[in-house]
Formats: sequence, C-alpha cells, structure tokens
Amino acid sequence: MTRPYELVARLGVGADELFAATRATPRHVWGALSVRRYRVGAAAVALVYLALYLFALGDVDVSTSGRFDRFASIPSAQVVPDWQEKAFAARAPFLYEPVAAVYLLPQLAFFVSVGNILLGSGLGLLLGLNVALALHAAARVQSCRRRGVYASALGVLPSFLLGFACCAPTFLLALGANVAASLVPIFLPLRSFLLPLAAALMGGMLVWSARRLQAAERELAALRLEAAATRRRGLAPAQ
Amino acid sequence: MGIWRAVSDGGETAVREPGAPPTLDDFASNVISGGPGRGGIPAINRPEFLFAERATFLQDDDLVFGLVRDGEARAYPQLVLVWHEIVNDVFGEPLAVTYCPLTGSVVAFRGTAPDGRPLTFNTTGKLVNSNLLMFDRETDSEWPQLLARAISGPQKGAALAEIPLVWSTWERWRAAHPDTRVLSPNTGFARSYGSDPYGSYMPLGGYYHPTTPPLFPVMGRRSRRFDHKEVVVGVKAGEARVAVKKLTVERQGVLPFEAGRMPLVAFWDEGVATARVFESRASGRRLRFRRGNLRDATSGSTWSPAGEAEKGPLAGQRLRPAVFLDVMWFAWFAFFPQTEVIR
Repeated sequence: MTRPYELVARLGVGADELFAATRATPRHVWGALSVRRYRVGAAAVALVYLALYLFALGDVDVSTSGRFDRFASIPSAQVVPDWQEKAFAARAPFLYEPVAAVYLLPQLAFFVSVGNILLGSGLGLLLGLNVALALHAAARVQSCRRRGVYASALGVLPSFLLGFACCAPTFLLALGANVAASLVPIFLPLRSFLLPLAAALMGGMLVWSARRLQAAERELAALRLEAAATRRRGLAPAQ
Repeated sequence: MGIWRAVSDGGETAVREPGAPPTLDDFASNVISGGPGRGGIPAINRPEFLFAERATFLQDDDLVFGLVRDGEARAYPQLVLVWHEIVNDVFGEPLAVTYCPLTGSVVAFRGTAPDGRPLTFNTTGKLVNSNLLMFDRETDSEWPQLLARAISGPQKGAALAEIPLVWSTWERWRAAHPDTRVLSPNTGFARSYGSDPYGSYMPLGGYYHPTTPPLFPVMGRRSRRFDHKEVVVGVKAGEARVAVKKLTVERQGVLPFEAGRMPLVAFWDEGVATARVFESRASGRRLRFRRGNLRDATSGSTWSPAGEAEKGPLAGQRLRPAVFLDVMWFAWFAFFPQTEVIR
C-alpha cells in the first residue's frame, strides 16, 4: 500500500476507534458509578472541585479579619434587586454576576452566582467521573493495567488546573505584583480559551480512559480464554 | 534627558519631560482588554447615601474620596468604588464620579450629549495605559478617564468638564465634614466590599506599592524620574500638564508654580491629609505665594488650605480650583509625556 493510502487507512481506523470509545464511554462510566464507593468518590471530588473553583473566583470569600459583619448582620442573606436579569449576566468570559450574598460568619460569605455554580459543577462532575473511571479500571484490570489507569487519572491534573484559568489574575497577584505584571498580559487573551480547553481535555481524558479500559478488558478476556484452553488441553488424554 | 527650566519667578522649578503628546488615534490603537467584559465592572446607577453616623461599615483609616459642592459634602469610599469604578450621581447636577484602581486616579465628570442629555457612563472592561476606559450610554463614545476626552465614537475629540475630588481617610473627612453623606455599599450588586482585589492602601502593599510595575503595557518609554506608582498631583491648565510630587506638597505646605502661563498654588490640607491646587488669582490680580506660607505676598491675605481667604483684605474670597487629580506617575507620564515635573 502506498503511503497516502496507508495514512488514510490509519486515520479511518483511528476514527473508528475513537467513535467506538466515545460510544462505550457512558457504559463504562455507568459501570464505575454502579459501585457505591466510586460513586461517593466522584461526588466528593466534584464537590471539592466546586468549592475550590468558587473560592478561586471569590464567590466563597474568607476574611481573616472578620469584616463581613460591617456590611450585614450575621447570619443573613441578601438578594440583589433585579436578580432575574443578572442571573446569567457575564462579568468576564465564564464569570457571572452574583445574584445573592449569604453572610454565614463574620469571616465567611458566599456570593451566589448561578452561572459560576453551573460551570464549576460541570467541570467538577467531569473530574469526578474521570477519577471514578480510573479507580474502577484500576480495580478491574489490577494485574495488567495498573500503571496505565493511574496515569490516566494523573493526566486529568493539567486540565483540572486549567479550569482555574478564569481567576488567573487573582492567583498571579497573590504571587506578587511583579510576577503578575509579566504574566497577566499573556494570560488575559488566553483566558477565554482555557476553560473550554479544560472541559474538552477532561472530556477527552474520560473517553481515553474508557478506551484503555475497553482494551484492557479485551486483553483480559483473551487471557482468560487462553487459560481455559490451556486447562482443557491439560485435561485432554495424551495421544 | 530632561531640560531644566525655571517656570516662574518665586515659583517652583520644573523639569520638562521630552515627548510629543500622543494623538487620539494613538490612544485608540492602544486600547487593550483588562479582563472584564463591557459593564463587567458595573457602574452604580442609583447610589444611596448614608449619614456619617449610619456608616458603620467604615473604619477610621478606610480611604474615602471627598467632594464638596455648595457647602454639601459627600464621601465615596474606596472600598465601594474599587468594585464599580463609576457612580452616575446627581450632586446639584448630573455628575459621574470615576475611580481607576490601576492608575490610582479619581475624578468627577460632567458631560452632555450633542442633544443636550447629560452623559452617563459605564466601564468598557478595556484599558488605555492601564487607565479606565469608559463609554457613555447616550452616544457609545469611549473616554479614557485620565484624558477626559473621547478617543472614539460620535463624540471623538469632545472633552468632559473635570471636577476634582480629594483623597482622605474616613476619620479625617468625617472630622472636617461632620454632616457629610457617604455612598452606601447597598449598590444593587453583590460584591465582597472591604476586600481589594489589587492590594492594600493601609498599609501600602500589593499592586499599589510604589515600586511595583504596572500590570498592563503602557505607551511610550518608561520614565525613571519617579517610581512607577509614586503619587503625583497631575495638573491640567489649557494645553499645559504639570506633575507635582504629592509628598513635596505635603512637605512644603504651600507650593507656588505655573502651568503654561497660569499661576497656580498647591496647598497641603493637613485636616484631610490631601493636596489641593488652585489658580493663584483673586479679584483679577495674580497672587504671589511663597513656599510654606499661606499668606499671599500680593494682598497680604491669609488663605485656608481649602482655598478661602480667612484674614486680610480678601477675607471671604475663594480661590478657583484648578483641574487636578492624584495619579500614579507611570500613567500620567504615559498619557502626557510632555508633562512638566515638580519634584
């Protein structure tokens, strides 16, 4: 076969595999979630991610000096007057207006932004599913695929960090104004792309994990068949 | 290299920074995104004001921007403005009080659309030389705060009338103006008032520290005459621009100088810990001041730091305020590289 044909053929095989893996992903995810401990693990990871995400955005706000009682009675909640209009009003790409403030302690307040909660939940869910699938795969193919499946869990890390890109200037300022001054002009134009990239990467990791799990299951099945055949041969009378 | 130039007899010596002033198109082509979207830092459109005794959310050392008009005083807390940057207020007449945290500048504007409607403003989310770029809702023209002139849109080239505010602390402002009203944090938006995303003024730190560089690129070359964020009092008089180091005004108490041909005098008002700049003219006469002396040598009248003659033949008269504002040096220089400097 000439090279162009070979390339086209390979691309076709790759596309078929990708399609098959994408189709198989919900089944594998469901399989992982049918185990209670992975389900709980995924939920815990998603919630922790959501909390960190909202903290990074400043929606979960901690004041070490306990300043919130200067602005509201504690505990109390205040809804902004035209909250229906503001519910999905964007302040910046992927950053939405809070529609309420909940003052829980003089040191702790929660600014409720519907858009931010939905985005953080979505990213958290993707991360939780990745972790659940990785753990499930690790348990299923413990003997032959352990390194591969944990590697896929670790592979989520960069995309996990990208999810926080929307609050990059805040993080950079925390590193110091000098560092921020050199990095902010680079980060700001990229910011609009980083969060979709994080979601795409985490979705991709999920499909990749499912594909590896599928391949490992196939290998395991083949090994079992081979073992059974060997046993049958061993039991058969000698000729 | 600066060219030393004496600007007036008896006045302060100024240094002329070389550089032609950028054109409106230069500014327009240097607009960059600051991160937030259009209106993402929302202007306050229905400001509520509290009496001083009800403003329990303020602490003594909190920064406020003060404005007095017709004997009535208003304080705009920095901890509220840092989240909104613009207050479309009515204070005797429609005024927009604007604050840019990245250039440390606060000024009120009065402007009208071609059809006579007063202009109201919101933030574009963009910056020019790190400075707030506003748009007016009536004509959708874009105005950098420090320039006070539209750089694009139907009003391109038009200018806004500038009304200076002063920087003070709540304790000092309240003592000087016990009847002051204060902008309430009840703005119609949920924000973490009391926290500052950029740094801190008390003590000075984070982005506001004088030696830290600006976050965003600025036009032209860097001037090393002062630290990036050294506070200067920027003065506009016709086409002339002068930057006076604020600490110098504090040290001297009274600082006479000229901008173009306009005789000016900067007073340090210890009561509210702020610098004010006035035209040193009264009753059609130029008044000569000497450094550190509130008594003018022309009429023999003694003036208060708020610009009112307290004793002498001109008692009861008021000096006309110049167009001035506190601003970080790097931003003033980026907008007005032709500026003269008083160290």
